[in-house]
Amino acid sequence: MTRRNSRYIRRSITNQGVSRFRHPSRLFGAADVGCVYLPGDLTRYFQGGQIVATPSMYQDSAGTTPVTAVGQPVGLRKCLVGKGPDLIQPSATSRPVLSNRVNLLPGSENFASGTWNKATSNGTPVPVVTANYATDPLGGNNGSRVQLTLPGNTEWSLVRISAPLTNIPVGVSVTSSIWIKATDASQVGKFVSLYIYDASTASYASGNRVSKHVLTADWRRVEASFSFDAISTTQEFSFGKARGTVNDGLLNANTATDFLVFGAQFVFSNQAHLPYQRVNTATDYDSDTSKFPLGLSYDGVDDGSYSASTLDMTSTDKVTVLAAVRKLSDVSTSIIVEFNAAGDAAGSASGANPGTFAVFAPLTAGAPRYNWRVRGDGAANAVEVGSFTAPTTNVLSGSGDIPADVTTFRVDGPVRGASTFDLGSGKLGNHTLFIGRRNNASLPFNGLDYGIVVIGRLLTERERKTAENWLARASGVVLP
Amino acid sequence: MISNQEINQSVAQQEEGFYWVHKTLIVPSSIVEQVRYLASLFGESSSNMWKTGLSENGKYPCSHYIGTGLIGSDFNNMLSSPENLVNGAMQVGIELDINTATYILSQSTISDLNYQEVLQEMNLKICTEEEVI
Repeated sequence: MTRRNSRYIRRSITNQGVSRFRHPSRLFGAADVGCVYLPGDLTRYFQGGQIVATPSMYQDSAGTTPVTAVGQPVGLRKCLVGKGPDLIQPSATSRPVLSNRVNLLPGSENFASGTWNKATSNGTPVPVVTANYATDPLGGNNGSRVQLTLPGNTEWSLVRISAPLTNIPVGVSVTSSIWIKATDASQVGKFVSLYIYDASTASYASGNRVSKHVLTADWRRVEASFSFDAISTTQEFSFGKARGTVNDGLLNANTATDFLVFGAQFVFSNQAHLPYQRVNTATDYDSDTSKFPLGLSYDGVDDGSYSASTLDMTSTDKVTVLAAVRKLSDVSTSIIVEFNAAGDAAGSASGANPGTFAVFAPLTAGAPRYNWRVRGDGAANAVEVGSFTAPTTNVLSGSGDIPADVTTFRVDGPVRGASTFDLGSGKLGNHTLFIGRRNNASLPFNGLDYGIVVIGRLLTERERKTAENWLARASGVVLP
Repeated sequence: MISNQEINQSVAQQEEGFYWVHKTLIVPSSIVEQVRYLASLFGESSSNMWKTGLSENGKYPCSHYIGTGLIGSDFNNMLSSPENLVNGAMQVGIELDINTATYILSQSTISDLNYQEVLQEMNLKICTEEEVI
């Protein structure tokens, strides 16, 4: 494990004065009701306090084919505490997919392949890329040599090596990075630039779309953050160089440049602290769970799951829901968790199903917020908190006490909203639990789920912190 | 964020046998029940497939329905031609005439592209509920 990786884990577990974290299934005593679903461990789950060596997730809803690797759909999830029902998704296209992909480039090392377009303009020669030319900074032989030539005139010209990107949201900070090094001493001091491109401005070399870096004799990881101006079918990450009279400070372009590259990465900036992730294909990438949080990806169109049988919480009038999620969009109303089919956690006193709860991300379309609500047999009490603008990864913790009329919602530790509105009376219900979609039909969640815990009681401060710490570690969140 | 072509390029590299293929499947509302029924015969448990509605302005009523995600290679193969659809139906004991199969496939959009790109090409938006509580 590299020093950076160990730091990523250590920071997650030593916060709020709590130096330990415990598997959330350890929260459950014999009398506790609820359920635990965690995608981070494919090979075992807890039942009655014991680790059960059996697959915890299956590709099909019948539980025939275990989930063994990233890129596979999840049709069945075991309740890891053995108290709640399995979650299922019988419809193939609606199954969330196991993923811990953070590097959004289609390939990160083979620059000689067709994945990387070698583009030129105004008559510049096509760049020459030689794969496996030199020792890379991680000790392999995957350093690629790149030879670029720009014409020696004052006309605008550009030579670049580009990889396509897909549907990167407008205005969201993204971070490009790559290792670069001069091929030999004669190249030291020349420059190479990182660019992003979309069709809205049709320009590589203006404003904040370009970041210039000077070649050195040793490997340097260069990094730059940008944001796109518009959604376009043409979005690219590229590196190379330009010259001309229209750009900013690149006039003294070196006409010929020879350098080594390795390990390109393009991530949302709030994941830029994660280490480099090798990507070969969409299903062949560095999926080391000690470096990259493992979650279930929901597409925001039709993905979701629901409990194969109802979750009986009629023995309790208190509930705590913990969830670690990465929210990728605020555009539409979305369900993370909802306890009953009819949306009655969100409803008024006239709702047919008392004893319900729900977490929205968001409730109001376009609002960068979360919404937690609980209902006894009265109207639901909602706690709306923000701003948490997508893309964002958060550990959510909502609790509700029906007889005490207390509803509390925490995000990444601190209380962000609380209310003493009358929740009515009665107990929690016996309903189907839905994850990612209301009634398996509407309000689809766009994001990743790193773990969901439902328990029919309020947690002690220490219990809550240790469980939040576990979920923070599982999701890569650094708690304050 | 990760393109369907990219995923499909990857799964195509797998050996023969069952594998998952990422597809965007859009059908007009006029045939959605028929398509759900057919898919259910093929073991796709489609009662909740094509439940997300689409329209030009993103408001109800929906003109189309979308399903997107991983489907089995066997189901994908059935969708590749009217003949394969007819043969697939035959294997589950259903007689489907070639004209109906041709019509269903001609009306449907079956794409390797991400749903965002397909919706942009078709000038459709996901229908969203104005009032959710």
